Amino acid sequence: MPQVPLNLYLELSAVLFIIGVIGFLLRRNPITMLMAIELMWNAGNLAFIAFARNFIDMSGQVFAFLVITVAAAEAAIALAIVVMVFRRRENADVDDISVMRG
Amino acid sequence: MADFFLGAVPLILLFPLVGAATIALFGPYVQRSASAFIGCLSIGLSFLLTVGTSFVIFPLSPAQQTLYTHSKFVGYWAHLPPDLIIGFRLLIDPLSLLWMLIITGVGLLIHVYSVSYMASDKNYRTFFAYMNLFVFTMLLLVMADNFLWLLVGWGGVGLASYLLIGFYYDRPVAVLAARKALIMNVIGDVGIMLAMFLMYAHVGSVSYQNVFGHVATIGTSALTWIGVWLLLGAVAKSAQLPLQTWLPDAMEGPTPVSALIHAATMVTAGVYLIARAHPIYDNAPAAAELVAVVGGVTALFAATIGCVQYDIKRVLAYSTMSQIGYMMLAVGAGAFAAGAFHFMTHAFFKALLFMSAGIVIHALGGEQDIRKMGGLATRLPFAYWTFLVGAVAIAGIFPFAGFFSKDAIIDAVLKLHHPYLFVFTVVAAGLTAFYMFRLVFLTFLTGAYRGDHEVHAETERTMTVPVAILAVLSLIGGWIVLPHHDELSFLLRSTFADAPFPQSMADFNGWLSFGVLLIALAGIAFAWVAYQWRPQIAAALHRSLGGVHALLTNAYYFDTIYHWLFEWPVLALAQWLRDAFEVDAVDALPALALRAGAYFGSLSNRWETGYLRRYGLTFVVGAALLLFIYLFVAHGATAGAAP
Amino acid sequence: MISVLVFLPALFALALLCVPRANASLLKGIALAGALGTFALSCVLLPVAPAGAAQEVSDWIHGAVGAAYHVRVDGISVWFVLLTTFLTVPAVWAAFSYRDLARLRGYLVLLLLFEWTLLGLFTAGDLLLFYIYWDLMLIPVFLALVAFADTPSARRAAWGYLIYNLAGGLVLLAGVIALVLHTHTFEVLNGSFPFTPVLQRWLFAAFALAFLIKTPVFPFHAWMPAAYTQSPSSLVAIISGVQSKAGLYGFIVFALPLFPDAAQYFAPAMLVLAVCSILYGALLAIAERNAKTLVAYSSLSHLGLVLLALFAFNFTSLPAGVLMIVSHGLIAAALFLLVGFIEERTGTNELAAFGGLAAVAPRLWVYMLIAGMAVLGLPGLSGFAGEFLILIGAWQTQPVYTSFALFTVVLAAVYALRLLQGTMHGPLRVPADVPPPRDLRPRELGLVAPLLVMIFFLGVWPAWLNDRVPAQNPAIGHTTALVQPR
Repeated sequence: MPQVPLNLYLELSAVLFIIGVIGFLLRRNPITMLMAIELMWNAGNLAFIAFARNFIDMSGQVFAFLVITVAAAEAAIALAIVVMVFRRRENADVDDISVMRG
Repeated sequence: MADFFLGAVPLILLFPLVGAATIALFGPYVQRSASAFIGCLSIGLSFLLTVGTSFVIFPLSPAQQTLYTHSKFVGYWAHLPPDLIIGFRLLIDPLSLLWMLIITGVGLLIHVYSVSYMASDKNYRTFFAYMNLFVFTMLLLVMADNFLWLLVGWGGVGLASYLLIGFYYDRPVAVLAARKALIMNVIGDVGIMLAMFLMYAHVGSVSYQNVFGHVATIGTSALTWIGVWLLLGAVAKSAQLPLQTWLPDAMEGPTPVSALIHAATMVTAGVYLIARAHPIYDNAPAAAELVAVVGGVTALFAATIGCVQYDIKRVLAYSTMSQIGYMMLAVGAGAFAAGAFHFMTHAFFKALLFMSAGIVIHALGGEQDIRKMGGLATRLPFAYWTFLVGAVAIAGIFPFAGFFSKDAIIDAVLKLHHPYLFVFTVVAAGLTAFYMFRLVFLTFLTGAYRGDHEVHAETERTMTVPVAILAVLSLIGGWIVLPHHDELSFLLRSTFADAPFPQSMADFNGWLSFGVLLIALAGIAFAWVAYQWRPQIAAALHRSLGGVHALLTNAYYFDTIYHWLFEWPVLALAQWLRDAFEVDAVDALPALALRAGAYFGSLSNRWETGYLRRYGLTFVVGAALLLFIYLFVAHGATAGAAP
Repeated sequence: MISVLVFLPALFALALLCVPRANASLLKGIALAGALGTFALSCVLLPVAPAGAAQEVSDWIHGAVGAAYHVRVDGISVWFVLLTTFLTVPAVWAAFSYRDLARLRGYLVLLLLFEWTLLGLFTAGDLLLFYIYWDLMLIPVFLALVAFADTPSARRAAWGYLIYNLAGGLVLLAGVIALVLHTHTFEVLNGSFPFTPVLQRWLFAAFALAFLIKTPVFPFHAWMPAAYTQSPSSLVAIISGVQSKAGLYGFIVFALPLFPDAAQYFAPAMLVLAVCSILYGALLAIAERNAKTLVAYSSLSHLGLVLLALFAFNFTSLPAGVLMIVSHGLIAAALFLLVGFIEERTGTNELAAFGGLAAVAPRLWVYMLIAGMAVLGLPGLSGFAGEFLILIGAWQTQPVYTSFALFTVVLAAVYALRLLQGTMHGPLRVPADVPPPRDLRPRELGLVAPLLVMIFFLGVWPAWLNDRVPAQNPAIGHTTALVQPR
């Protein structure tokens, strides 16, 4: 079974990451922005796992698990915040909550 | 029997302490009279033990007369490297015994006297607790075998004196007087501390035995400094120039306090210190001369002020200052036995004078101004006669005690070949006789009673008996030193064995004594002329010498000078530091840092727009920039640098 | 065993949180039991004092930079531990009279947590552990000031306290990081590390700045007067009695042994600061009009004396410095508690507003007299013992600085008498809306009495403590010159 070369994984990872960045920068709906962030997380994960497989080093896989955990926690908190903001303002456009500036 | 008394020496110290503690702890739960009884009993027991110890110690040969007690249960106060061990020993030798006898003996009489003198006071129990505390600390001072425990006693008597001067603590004047006394005493404590620093540096010890044993190894200049610093302690405690101003104010305390602390015992601690440290002064003539000069000048200085005061206790206070000046002069001249002798007789007649004056004050309901007395001789005959005995004794009239002791000092000063000091002492002797008899005439004679208080009778036995005993002692106390038979310096011979100045007072200089006696009599005669026979002379003198009179009445303006020289600058500086420096500098330091932080914060604040996309873009651009630098700049540099 | 001691107060604090707020008597019982139990446990450590050290080490962090959970008690730190546990007992007991019962629980919890952080600091054998406790101990005090003194000025004081000390902590952190970059371990106590002279100076400066701020020493004391004055007296008894010694402890255990050459280099500057503190504190105390602030400034003065002892570098003044630390802890705690009792009676500590309390409160007068005389440095009380032994030692190596410091003996008399007479003497005066003050109650008598007993004990027999402080402790041995009499 032919091995998929490493750079294909990395290119896919880069493409996913760039889509995530563009999504984060262009969308105003916080839910969509969160999804974009998840995309970036997973782009990173993909790179980790690809490297892990390529170099036969388990720490890359361990790190991927850590990233998944952190991403889950982050999503949970972010969603909770979004829900709170939506309840208060009947709206969840991120430009409208710029009053939070320090 | 001898072993019993020697073994019981620590008890002499302990009884007053236990008495004070008992009164303090249980006083509120027992009757007032019980507190007084405990107070007197504890001092009485100490006195008996001291007398017993004296009978054991004095007959011994000189080599055996110095006794150290060893504490069995605790080691030492402190052990400093390399080998300074400050122990808990007590020292008994003839010098400390003499002081102990006076402290406990006169102390007992004054305690008994206080039983009725203080009877109407609401803090009766507190008074006896404080008085017992005083006796304990004073005994500690004279029984210490090193300078540190001397200092502990020294500070302790300062505390007791502070508490008793401020005994009427609801009177602001008394509060201020107490504060002044304690602060001046603390200045003296610093002097003793400095002396100890030098001893530690040069001998590595602060015990009498080691320091005095090694005086030869200390250089003269260091020894002189030790002497000067000890003198600073002594002048503060003994109210000598220039730290004398607290003593007259200390008369705010109850009269028994003035008699015990500010006349008979505590104020002579300075004399004790110099006499105790005589090996230092023997080897540091400059310091010894300074002691003599301070004493001589103070003797005259205080005597002149005593001539114009109107408060009966203040006159006695200045007279105390002057008499202690005599003692300091004696010990400074090297005549330690003479100084100790005058201490003893002075304790008798000055305590007597204060206690007789106390009877008068008590009878007049607290009046102390002699302008509101007069003619009391017939109404208070006991006080009159006893006061007269005291006045005759302090004036130095043969055969009363003061004659012998003052004569011994003047004789010593004559041998010192120091003409000014000799003149000072002789003039002061005349002035002493004058102001004491001015007091006698204005208080007890000279016309009718001028006050408006009712004169109570003098009936309490507890007050009259101690006074009577002191009157007898004021008469016979000097006979311990008679021509060709000097018992006192014989008793003290082991302490002052190595002093270069001859200690014996037995070689009697007849012409000198006669001359001084004549001067004293002249002083009395002048007082009689000016205040009894022709009172207008005093008034005329007062008028023509107004400036001098004001100078003397205000005690040479020392209080004012000290206020502007020390008190005011320190307080002004403190106030400025508090109101200006603390706010403008100390608080400004962190405030400046905070302001700087806030400024830089406001700079970075401009990026904080609140638009999430802006943050994201900044982040992406920043990350790209870092990546760029990492890939092209940093790596390129490394690559270029590589060979 | 040491860890148990350190965490015992925290355990009791947790236990307190399980008790309903309303059950005041149970709360008080648990809190006092916690303080007493900790003290009893700490007494077990006393025998280790003269000889060596007791320690417990467990692995914590491996890797490029190592750290261990290392707690230890030696002949010097045992006194800090004992002082902490000894003073917490009266402080907790005094807190019983906290006026708002609903918040008593939280306050007691904070006091016990404060004790935990202090014990942690004084037993830390690892620099990381030390640093963690160093900043951790700010939190209980800050919370107590904000939540339990509950006035605008107290809140200001709390922020001042927190920010100033955190700034010090930040500098310390920078120093610790720079140090660890060279040692590659936080276990620095028993090794000797070759630092370049310049690096040593920078490290010492960073450590010293943090220590000077926490002590505090002139001119870094801006946070102190307000924090001391606004704290409840039971809290300030521990802040002044124990926490203020944390910086001096840091000097003795870390800064001096780690950077001996830099300590010598900076000694003149430190001595100048010490003398300035001594005199400045005394002068400010003389001018101060609030009894509590007056005691605070007297603290500044006395701790300057300890700094003098440390940087005079000789074997007499160093153990005497420890004696002075213990003695000052006792005296400051006693005075702050007594001033607190006065405040509970008169509602104020402004000297102008009241006076003459001796007439109605003779027992309070006796207590104030003993504590006041100890501050004054009356021979025979512990204040004198510490002061005298420091001065006689420091004078041998640094006579000039010591001579300046001697002025404080006289100035101390002035402010001690101001405090004593201002509160106790003169005609009786109290604010118009206050009932005539009562004398001390048995609880108040009992809780201060052990402090006064120790003040007497250490004054009469300082050798008991002094001989148990190893003069040639390895921690202080490098920098110290033995003074030989000339």
